[in-house]
Amino acid sequence: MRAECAAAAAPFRLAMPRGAAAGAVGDRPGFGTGASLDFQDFRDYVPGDDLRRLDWRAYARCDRLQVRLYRAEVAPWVDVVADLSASMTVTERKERATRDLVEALVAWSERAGGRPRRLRAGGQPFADADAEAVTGGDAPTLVPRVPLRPRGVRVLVSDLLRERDPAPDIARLGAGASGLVVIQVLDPWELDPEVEGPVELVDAEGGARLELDLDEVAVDGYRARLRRLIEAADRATRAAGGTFVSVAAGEPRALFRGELLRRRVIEPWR
Amino acid sequence: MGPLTFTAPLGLLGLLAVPAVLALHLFRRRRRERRAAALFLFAPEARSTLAGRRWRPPVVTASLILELLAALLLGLAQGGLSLRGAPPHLVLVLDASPSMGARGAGGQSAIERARAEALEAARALGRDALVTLVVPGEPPAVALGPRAPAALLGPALEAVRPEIAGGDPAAAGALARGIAGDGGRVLLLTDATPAADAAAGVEVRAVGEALPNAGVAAAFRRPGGAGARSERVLVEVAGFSGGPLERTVRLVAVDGAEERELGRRPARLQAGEPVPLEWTVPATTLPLAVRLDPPDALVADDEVLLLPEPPGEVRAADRLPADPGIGPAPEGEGATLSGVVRFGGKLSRDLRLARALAAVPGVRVVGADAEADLFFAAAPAATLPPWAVEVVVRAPAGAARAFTGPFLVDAAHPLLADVSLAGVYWVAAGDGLAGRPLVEAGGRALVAEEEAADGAGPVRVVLDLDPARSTLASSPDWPVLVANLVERARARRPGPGPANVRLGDRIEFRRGTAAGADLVLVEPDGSRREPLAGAAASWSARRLGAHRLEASGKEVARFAVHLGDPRESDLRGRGSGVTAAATTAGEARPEGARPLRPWLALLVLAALCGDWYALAKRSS
Repeated sequence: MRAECAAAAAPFRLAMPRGAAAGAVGDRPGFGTGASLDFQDFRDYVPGDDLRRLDWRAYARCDRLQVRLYRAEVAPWVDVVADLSASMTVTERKERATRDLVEALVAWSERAGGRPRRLRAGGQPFADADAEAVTGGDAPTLVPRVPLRPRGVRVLVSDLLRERDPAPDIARLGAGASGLVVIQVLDPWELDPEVEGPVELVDAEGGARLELDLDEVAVDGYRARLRRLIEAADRATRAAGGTFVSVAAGEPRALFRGELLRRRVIEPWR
Repeated sequence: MGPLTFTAPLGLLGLLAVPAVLALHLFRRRRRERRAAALFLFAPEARSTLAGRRWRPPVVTASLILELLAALLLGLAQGGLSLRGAPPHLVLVLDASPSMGARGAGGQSAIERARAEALEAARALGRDALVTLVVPGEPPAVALGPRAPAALLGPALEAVRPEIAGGDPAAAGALARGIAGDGGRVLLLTDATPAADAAAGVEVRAVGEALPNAGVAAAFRRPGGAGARSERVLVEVAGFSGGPLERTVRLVAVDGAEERELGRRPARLQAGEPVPLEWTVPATTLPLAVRLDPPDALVADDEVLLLPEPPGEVRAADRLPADPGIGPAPEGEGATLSGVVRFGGKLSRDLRLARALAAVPGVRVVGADAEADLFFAAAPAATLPPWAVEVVVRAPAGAARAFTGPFLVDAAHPLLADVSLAGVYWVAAGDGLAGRPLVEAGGRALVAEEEAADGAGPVRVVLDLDPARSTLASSPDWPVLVANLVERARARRPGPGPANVRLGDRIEFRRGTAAGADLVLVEPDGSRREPLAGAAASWSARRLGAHRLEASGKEVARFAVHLGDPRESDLRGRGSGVTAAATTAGEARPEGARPLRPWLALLVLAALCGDWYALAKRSS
């Protein structure tokens, strides 16, 4: 991770969802039973159980010996799914913000006691977002080709600027997860293009060209369609029990202290 | 850099080239090319038309920028811009991570060697040298300077103690490089063997020593169970050496100057493999200390002080009326049995509130008028403690409507964790709820949350529910929802956070109505610190050992800070060596007055070459 990004990410950590997660042994509430103080369930007593966990109140009420089970404490799996297609590199600022965000998410996950893993959208795990090459075409799906770890936290970093509806992919990412976060990274020009007269747009992925007059009518129409796309992605994420955040690519400090903090994707650490 | 001199009229004339370049670009326009990710979002109405020309601002291109730059530099060169000399500047980065406190066979710690190296480097630059001291941390901090007299370096170095966790020397090096600028020298003093690819412009000098070491990697102190008279101490010990290390782990109760041993275990530590240990001891309010014998290279990880954790009990009060719509429960409705107030109202029984609360650990039911953290009521209370959570079950008012399996608007909300409401038969009798909807059915909110925008004041959760005709209370979701409400109340309860924290973690105290605003944390060395801003008073733990929290001069809580960081305990990779700065900026030197005209001329040439390249590329 770049030093500037590391310094900007230092005061934060990932806000882990309260839902029961699975993972290695750690200090977060887990899915199974274990030795924490968080009550989870009852089950019938069997010889050999710890007598200190017998529920005497339940025994007094219904003459059944039951033991209290407590929630396990785990280091939750965190799968950071990064869209590294060519559309993420339309500007250097957007590409830089995407790579910074992926590396920062990994660092934040570790700080929050999680076990992170970097995965390519529609591809395989990789080791370092700063060194990972960008692919030319748009992957047919945002879901990685390797199985996602069950009951883990999943974070998708993408611009979601695809002609296909992202809702099925988001639903698949959210299925079986204990938490889902979808972070849409857009270049400031993509979020709010200015009226700038005659331009020739070149598709970052297919190379197609489109000659336009970017006047008020064209910009207003673009903004309306982008708003509908963002609202659809937000709805799909919420339906999957997740949190959707749309951020403008920029310097790490501004990027991290904006919507990510306000929507509680991350939280102050120290 | 010295003061800038700019008095030549020729320079001003040269600057006229700037508006000239701008004018040329204004009257000459080409279609601009732009890479885009979403062509499909641009509709046909945006396609190019044959409309007449309109005035538009100039298109900002690389060519325009380079030509403006060349014109500006030309003007500055004409003006004779120059720099005045400056004294040598040394920027020191002193790694103050806990591992710097490790002592080898020579008896001197790494940080003591680093201080000596720093003083020697400053002395070599002469008496007029300026120094800046940067200490890694999150974020890195400037402990001296920038550009302070070298005579102040000694006391500043002594004040830096090896107790800063999580600092990244690379980030501190980048900050130091920025402070040093072009003429300064940056020297990083650390105990890690310098890597071959050290940051550009940073000279790394390692003063560490590879040593075998064992340390306490993690330690917890927890109650033995509800109402138990015992408590558990969980410890994880790790060794870092080429071979196994033999240690004795002792647990002692500390009563002032006296100590009483509660247990001792031998531990054979294999390299990098933590060994878990557990003691069950009689519950005590005394601090407990976990110690490793014999002490080794790094003393900071050989002992952990554990204080009793503060009680996490949540007080729940039932203010539900005996019969909905009639009024509050009459006096004596909640009879006392075995010291526990019973829930007696009809609404309470319909909600099976007592049963649901009994399933949640750490909850004490108090009387309706007592001060509490969690309230159940049929109507919002006029006044509540600012930290309270109030659950309002609205009495039937409008036409009743029934729903099966209402859906969760925001499944990720903490109050709805593990709640599904699948198959629940829900009869709502209200006429809509205000606030943020959490559960909805048929276009109306059934559960809503009200909270002030700034987070101050109580949280109110309103249920539009007729419990007598609904199946919510008998579903598995109800105790889960009640448990979530209890957890919300527990998290908002005033008082201290965890008593035992790791170095670098946060010490917290949530203010209640009683706590005064003048909270002060007293560190082991007697330093007094004001809290960071926020709803809860908090401090970053930066000293090892016992801390005292005072409000208006009176002690209100105690905290213990321990290292608990295996990365710091592992001294195997430490070493010594020197990596020279990767650029010529690594040498600090006195600077004389230097004319910048040759450099400016070179820059003008570079800008013109760049402009030619940009134009050639666009033409092709």
